[in-house]
Amino acid sequence: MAAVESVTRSQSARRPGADAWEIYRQSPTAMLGLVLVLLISVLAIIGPLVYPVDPFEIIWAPMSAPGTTERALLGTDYLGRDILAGLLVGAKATLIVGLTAAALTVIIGLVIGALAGFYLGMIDEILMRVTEFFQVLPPLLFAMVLVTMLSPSLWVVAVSIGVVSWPPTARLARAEFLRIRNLEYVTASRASGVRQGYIIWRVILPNALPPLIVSATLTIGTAILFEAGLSFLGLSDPNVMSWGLMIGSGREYMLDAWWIVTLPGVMIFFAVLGVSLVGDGLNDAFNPKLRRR
Amino acid sequence: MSVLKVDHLCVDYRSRAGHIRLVDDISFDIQPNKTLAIVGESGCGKSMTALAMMRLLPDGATITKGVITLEGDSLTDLPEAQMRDIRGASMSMIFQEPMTSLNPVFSVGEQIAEVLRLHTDLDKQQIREKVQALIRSVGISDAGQRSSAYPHELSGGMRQRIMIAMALACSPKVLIADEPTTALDVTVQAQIFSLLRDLQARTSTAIVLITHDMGVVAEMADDIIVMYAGRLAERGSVETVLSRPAHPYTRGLIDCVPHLQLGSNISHKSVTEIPGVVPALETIGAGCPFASRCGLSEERCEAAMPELSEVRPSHQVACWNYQET
Repeated sequence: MAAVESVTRSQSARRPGADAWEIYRQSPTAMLGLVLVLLISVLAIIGPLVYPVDPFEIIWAPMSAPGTTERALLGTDYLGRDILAGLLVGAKATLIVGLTAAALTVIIGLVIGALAGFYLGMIDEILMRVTEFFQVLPPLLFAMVLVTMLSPSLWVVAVSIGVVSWPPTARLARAEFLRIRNLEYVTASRASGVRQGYIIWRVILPNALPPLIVSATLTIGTAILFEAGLSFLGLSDPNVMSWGLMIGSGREYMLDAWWIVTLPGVMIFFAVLGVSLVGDGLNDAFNPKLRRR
Repeated sequence: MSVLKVDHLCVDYRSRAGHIRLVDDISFDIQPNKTLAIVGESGCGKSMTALAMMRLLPDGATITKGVITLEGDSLTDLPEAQMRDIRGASMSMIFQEPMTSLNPVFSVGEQIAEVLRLHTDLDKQQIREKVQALIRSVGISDAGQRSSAYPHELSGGMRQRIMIAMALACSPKVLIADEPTTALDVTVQAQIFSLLRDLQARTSTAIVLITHDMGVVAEMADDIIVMYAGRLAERGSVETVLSRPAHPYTRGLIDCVPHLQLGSNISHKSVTEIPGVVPALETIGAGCPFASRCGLSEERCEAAMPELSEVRPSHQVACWNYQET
């Protein structure tokens, strides 16, 4: 029995990623992060189906505290809209913005960093100056300008956040490419006659990926905070319910009805905590040698 | 008919600090089925010569003079795209560190398959069979299982075997082996060399073996060139050069090899070192670069670099004072 198991393990657990998962699994905080992220994803996906209440509809008396009415379990906001419905629908917006912005950050950062780090010389010089230009702009201010210039829709917010947050990813990707491009296996694969594109995307990129995955995960957290910040300032799509919008619109009633801002705030807290713990766990899993003891 | 010919090759390195000649006027040629050893200390330009042959010199280093011809075709002025078709197909290379010269994220079978996909028209099934055959041909049993292994799951000797399988996948005319066993245990080293000899006998590939180990040269090579500070010191057949070395540097290298004498009195005197260190390349003047470490050095050695002169047929040395032995 044990022999059978070891054979199947050696077949399936061979990929380098399998070891990383083993390490990841053993960290309680990383698993907690994963559970949080999964819970919020489940809320976002099936929550509105199970609890199909329109978060913009006025259903009860304004500013009812949680637990005071069966119509709205978590209370109502200053207009009498259901907070629970808002939290469930808002989860989707938050995740969409977080994931889109992080994906955009990684794509822009990776392409620029990879080209700069691989080709060096003039290309590197130009791309890095562009990166520095974006890096010195205050990100929140820059995102605000972008959102006000364009219409404040969910996608514009997501893209704006992506556009202001890629420079650190580009620098990370460039550093990884610089490190890996001179390693022996890159020379060895050039000696076997492969094309430059193959070297960049199939030889160097997979080896540069672990730190980039970690940074992408952490970027999701930052993007969620960013979205909340923009919504708080009234710069998000007023027609799409999001946690940031709930906080932003409820901020004037904070002292009279704590739940209007606190509940979405707690959700943001757990979402960001979740992705950050996942990011940390991935970091440890990919770099077991650097793990704190 | 020589398969590879290197003619007056010069490699220069340019940096902001200046301009250094890494390889200075090296010429040699190699026949099919023969092994040529390039010998010298670290930094003498032997690896640069190898990389120049593959046109894979690191940033800043370029071939500034000389011609490299593979089966009559010049490689030095070939466009990069055509050079890519040659690398891994007609000419391939194995490296010093088997631990780091395989891509850690792909299985070794996949990496061998990639070379076949690049240079042959085999279909998927044929490639899979060829990969297994190649892995078996380098002396690895259970090829099926090993081909799905990742590099970190294999030992150093095993990885070097995989590198050899990869290098020989397309039956190259020339195989450049850059210190292929330096990082391996002595027993594994012997296995790798006997494997290389077997494969050479089967494929009649010409091997350029880069090493600093005279023992390896005696065991493997037919011809030898000795390099010092980027220049050719001595050139000839292994029997002649090892038994009757003419250049004082070659003699020093041979004396450096410890001789194990079994028996009651193991002698410690048998190892002699060459005094001093290799001069920094930017400090070399007009004279012989070895002069400062040479016991026979005299005035003209400092003044001018000696030309290659014939000691006997197919044995040349660049030394003013070479002694016939």
